[in-house]
Amino acid sequence: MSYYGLPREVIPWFPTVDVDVCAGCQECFDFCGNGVYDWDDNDGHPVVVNPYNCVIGCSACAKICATEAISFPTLKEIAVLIQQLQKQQLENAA
Amino acid sequence: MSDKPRFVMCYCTGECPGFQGMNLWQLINRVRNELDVEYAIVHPQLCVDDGDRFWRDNLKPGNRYIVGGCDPRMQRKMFKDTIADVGGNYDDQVIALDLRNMPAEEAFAKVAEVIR
Repeated sequence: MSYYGLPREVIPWFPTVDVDVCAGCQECFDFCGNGVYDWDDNDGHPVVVNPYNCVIGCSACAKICATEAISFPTLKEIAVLIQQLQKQQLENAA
Repeated sequence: MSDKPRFVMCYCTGECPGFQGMNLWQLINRVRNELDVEYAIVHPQLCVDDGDRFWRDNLKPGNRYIVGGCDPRMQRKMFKDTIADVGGNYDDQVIALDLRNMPAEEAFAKVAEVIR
């Protein structure tokens, strides 16, 4: 997978779950159509198993989380990083 | 102001598996041409910040909106408060349709069913 020419793995966009705040409702796990999460039946909370399946810019799971246990970087941070990476890529190609 | 419904297709960035099998432009153009709607448009992702800004910028109390997208339960959870913030009422104004995992023909039939 890539993000418009950049390897997906160089862009740290994926959810972080605060398991202390997580209520175990499984809404995030049920909602994500990209298999980012697996469910830990023992502890009753989601586990991010495929972080780079997460669609950059998508934070829908965080929005539906009733306890605000899920967080993402800001899009601004990611935009700045993407610009730096693209610039670096151009310099390397030159 | 027209009381025709407005159709908004929320296309989940175009990268989510749920809509990979759908010809988006076939759906949108058939809805625009064949159904009595005020307009039919596409938003890449209503459930994140610029989706909130879409509602804040466009929603008018009294207008009806049909939103094609994901699970209606989730749509309600994600749009209700933002719509209320701008004087609207989700339950009165929005019909959410789950159009995932189906071709454009089937999706069109679901939209038509609600409009006709």
